[in-house]
Amino acid sequence: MKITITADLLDGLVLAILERQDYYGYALTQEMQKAITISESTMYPVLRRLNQGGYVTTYEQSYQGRNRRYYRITSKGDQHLARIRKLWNDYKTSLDNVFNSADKEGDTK
Amino acid sequence: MSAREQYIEELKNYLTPLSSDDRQSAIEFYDEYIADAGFTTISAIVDKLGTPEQLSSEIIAKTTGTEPNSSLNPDNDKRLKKILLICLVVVLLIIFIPIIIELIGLAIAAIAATVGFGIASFGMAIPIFATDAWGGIFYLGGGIALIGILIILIAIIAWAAKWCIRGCKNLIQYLKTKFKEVA
Repeated sequence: MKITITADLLDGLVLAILERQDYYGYALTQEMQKAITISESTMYPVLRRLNQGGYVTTYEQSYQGRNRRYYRITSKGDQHLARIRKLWNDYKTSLDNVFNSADKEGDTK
Repeated sequence: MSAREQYIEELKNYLTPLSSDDRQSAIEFYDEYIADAGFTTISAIVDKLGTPEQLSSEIIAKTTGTEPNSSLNPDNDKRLKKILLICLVVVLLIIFIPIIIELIGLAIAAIAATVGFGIASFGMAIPIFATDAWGGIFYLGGGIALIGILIILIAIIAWAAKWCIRGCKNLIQYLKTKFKEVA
């Protein structure tokens, strides 16, 4: 059984990774897969969506005779990320309250 | 054509439902991806990304759809295929095992009958020879004819067995590749 991850969270994860540094497609996918299980077909549509929304921008760098496309977070992306972080924290807190209130010992984490 | 070029060519074909801009950027993304991942064979690429057909249908669904499921769909698809494959194997076994048992039984019966008649014939020949030479020769001839039939029978059964084994090997190969797809 797997818990489905929403589009917003996927966006947020990618933006948070890009907040640390710029990445190219393959490396970015590797970083994502350290955190969650995603299929290889997921990354491209997410990046496309973020690019179209103006949350990331791309640039090319030459590498071993071919071009590598790097993704960089924009300031609009920073704001979006902050929004998603807040949404996630609220969501996490609400769910934790429900899951933990079922605890008979009254244990709070 | 390198494995990467081959795979990307096929992917291009399957991505035609997308707008040419989307298709172009998707192709560039995965072309780069495969190069950076360092895959050198088609099977290595398919192992990670799926077949061009599978990858393309997922890309199209997630590009035009709203909520991408990060983990659910590919697994469900594969699971369904796995179940269908197992059902197919079970049905094939149910059908073919009785048939094979029948054929083996038939072969044994045919050989046994021939050998039996042959022995009977030779057996008849010996006592009759004493009294009726031509009668003895008749039964001798019959026995020799039955030896001939036995040889032909064994040849036919050997050929049939070879054919069956080859058919089974091909079927197993086919099933193996199908299983690898969904494993």
